Amino acid sequence: MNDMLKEFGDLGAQMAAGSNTYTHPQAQIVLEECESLLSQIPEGQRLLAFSKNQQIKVHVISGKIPDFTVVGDDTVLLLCPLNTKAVDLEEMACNLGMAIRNVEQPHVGIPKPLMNNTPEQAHALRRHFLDITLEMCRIVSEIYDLNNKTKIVDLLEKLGHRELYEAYRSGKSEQEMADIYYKSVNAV
Amino acid sequence: MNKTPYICYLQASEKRKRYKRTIMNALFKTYKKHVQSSSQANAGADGLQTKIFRFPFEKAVIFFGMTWHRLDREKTVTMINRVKSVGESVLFSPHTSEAKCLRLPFYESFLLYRLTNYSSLPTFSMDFLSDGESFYYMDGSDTPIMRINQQAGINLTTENVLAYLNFYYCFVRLPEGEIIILKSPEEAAIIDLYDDERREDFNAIPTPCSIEETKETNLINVTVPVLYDGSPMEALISVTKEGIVTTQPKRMLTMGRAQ
Repeated sequence: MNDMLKEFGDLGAQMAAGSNTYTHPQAQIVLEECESLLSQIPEGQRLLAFSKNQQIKVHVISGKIPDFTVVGDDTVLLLCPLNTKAVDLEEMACNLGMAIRNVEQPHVGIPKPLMNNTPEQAHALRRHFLDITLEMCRIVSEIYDLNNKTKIVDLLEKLGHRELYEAYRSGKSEQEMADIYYKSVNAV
Repeated sequence: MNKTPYICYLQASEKRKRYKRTIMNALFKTYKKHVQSSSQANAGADGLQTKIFRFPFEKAVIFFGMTWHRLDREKTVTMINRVKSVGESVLFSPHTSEAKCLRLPFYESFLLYRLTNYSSLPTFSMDFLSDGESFYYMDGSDTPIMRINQQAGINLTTENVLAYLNFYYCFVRLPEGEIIILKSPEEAAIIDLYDDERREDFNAIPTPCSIEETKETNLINVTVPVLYDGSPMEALISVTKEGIVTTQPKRMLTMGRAQ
């Protein structure tokens, strides 16, 4: 988040002092900036509204790389490196958006997959990841339209979803995008 | 630290499989190169004040067993009670979580602990350094490592310094970005974005590599190829006996050659 607000810069003394809790020393600022960016794009506005309605709890904790996970039905953990100079706001905001979508899935007919080895659950798992990956394409695309920054697009390409992203940008149908996605995850 | 990042699961598997295939090829080629180069005379510069190790490292580096040991239920519950809460949310419950530990060759009383919640999707893990009593969360900074180095001590030698550096870079994100010691410069082209298995290979031996211990300055200097914020570089890494790491990129590398 090096190119964002100044208070979201180096942690300096806070890093040196260390912390006995998992909560990121700048959790509030990190969350505010992520929400601020999401509030500037249509999908972000929709997700934030859902989050508010469902009273989703978001905790920002320190971690080595930007990441997220969902605990239970209504709690999001957003991981952010302590040294925020090496973190991109777009990536953090995208993670927050995907995490909220993760919570939203059961509300839109995508059941939460269970980690057991049955064909039904394998299908649920694929559906879950397809939806989250498409959500990532949607958020990345809207962020790119907002500020023309390519770093977040580069990250998506590094994850191997260039073709899917291009399909999304070109307005392909959900079925066509699903075909592209399944082809990419099943390829040898 | 979040082990097996969620975002890792969002990678196209083609990329992951391709990576595994290519790295096997690269390692085989590197191995052949090692065999050739190690047969050549290596003058070294062993003196009274300095020890230099060069390939083959099998003679110089102690490989330690990377074996995780699962904690029994009682110890797992004890650990969870120490570390489980973040604000109101419960991260780990004894019914859905598992704890394991790994001995590190440079610490006597502290082990690396990993607590995994299998009920989250994907599984969510946090890593700690602990002596069984105090748990230090590996938060991506070097603070927990330095705290333990100062309080409990660290036994750094030329034999285990590579393991320490692999461990250090695995858990510490520097202001410059991520640093990974490469097994060879060629690995820079194929290393994956989120490959924790590779990053947690603390026994990884880079080539070329030199390890020099200078008694006067009390430093161990290691010159190795690294991935430095996405670029392959040759770096001089200086480590004090207290475990403080200084990384100096020296020059760019392109497929094994200096630019």
